[in-house]
Amino acid sequence: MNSPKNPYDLTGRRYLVTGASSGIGAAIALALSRQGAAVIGVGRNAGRLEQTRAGLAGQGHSMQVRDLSDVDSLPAWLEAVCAESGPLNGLVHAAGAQSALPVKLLTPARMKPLQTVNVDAALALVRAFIGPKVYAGEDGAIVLLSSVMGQVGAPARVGYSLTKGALEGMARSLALELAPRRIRVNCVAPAFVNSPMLDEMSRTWDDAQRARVEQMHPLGFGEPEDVANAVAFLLAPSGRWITGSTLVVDGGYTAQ
Amino acid sequence: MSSMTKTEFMGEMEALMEMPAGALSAETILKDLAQWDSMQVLSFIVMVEEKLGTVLDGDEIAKAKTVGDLLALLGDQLQ
Ligand SMILES: NC(=O)c1ccc[n+]([C@@H]2O[C@H](COP(=O)([O-])OP(=O)(O)OC[C@H]3O[C@@H](n4cnc5c(N)ncnc54)[C@H](OP(=O)(O)O)[C@@H]3O)[C@@H](O)[C@H]2O)c1
Repeated sequence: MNSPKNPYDLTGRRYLVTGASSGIGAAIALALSRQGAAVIGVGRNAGRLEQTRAGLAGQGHSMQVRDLSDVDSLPAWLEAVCAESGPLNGLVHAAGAQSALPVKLLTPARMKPLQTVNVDAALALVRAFIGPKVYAGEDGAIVLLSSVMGQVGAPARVGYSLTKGALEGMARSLALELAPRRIRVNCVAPAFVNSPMLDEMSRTWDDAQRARVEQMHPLGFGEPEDVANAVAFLLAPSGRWITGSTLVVDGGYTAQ
Repeated sequence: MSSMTKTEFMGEMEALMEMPAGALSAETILKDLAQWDSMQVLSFIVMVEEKLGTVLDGDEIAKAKTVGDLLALLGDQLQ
């Protein structure tokens, strides 16, 4: 076995990163590029995708404006993207939607958009990824962005927890099914990170509530790069014996 | 932008809190309502967003003492 000198090196590899137009996904694209990877970023907002691209290190990146809620179209689309860019070594699903809704209001119509982008799109992308026109055939790794809400609960987070728990369950079974193809599958579960998603959530909080939530993080709120570095670790040779697991990156939130 | 009458709006609030029609008035003090807790505030925010297209901020709602103060947050959108 030839161990690479730097276990975090991603040179020569290519990754699809959804959610690259914002917050954690943008930080992941940046972190992977700094370790030498080529990145294909995906999001709906062309302007913010371009901002991410402008910050990336190295060459060979591209950005794809795509609404991932058109789930059925994703496999053919990803094949077409890879026909242009070359095949992928991995996939990071950081696109996601959040919700803070009391269960009384969690009707199928309100659940659907959450389920679609958080879970259904992840599954469709995984199915697309393992095809021969997409997967490069070596060093395969998938990381799905879960949340501490996939591990523990909170009032009004039923819908969100449901989608994140689904991803963690999906990752474990995928890990076993895809191990023969040398594709590892893991989740990363962050607690609150300073990002547009936190801004959106905290809109409904008053000052006292915000202080309470912050206190639940012994190390304070995280930064997108704290999560991005954990994702890079799992994708790189450093993660090569890790599959089917969830790496909790939460400033101590779930230690209590 | 959608709009509704104050009476219709209070009807929506009563439904949300599972109270009989006419139970609320502009003078009703929010902290006297057992139902007015953090889950109810979230439901209220969602109701306002879906019916009127306005996203209220948690801090503004926390400052409201009466049902009338909540109505005032919506200004012209309630006739
Ligand atoms: N922020 C936190 O505190 C936190 C904590 C735990 C877990 N997470 C998870 O981490 C992931 C990233 O969160 P974040 O904080 O970076 O969120 P964010 O800033 O709100 O960004 C969400 C991203 O998802 C993309 N997206 C959403 N719906 C999409 C759709 N239908 N099609 C294509 N792209 C779509 C957005 O693209 P456009 O903007 O271009 O539409 C954006 O890039 C999510 O899975 C989230 O659940 C976040």
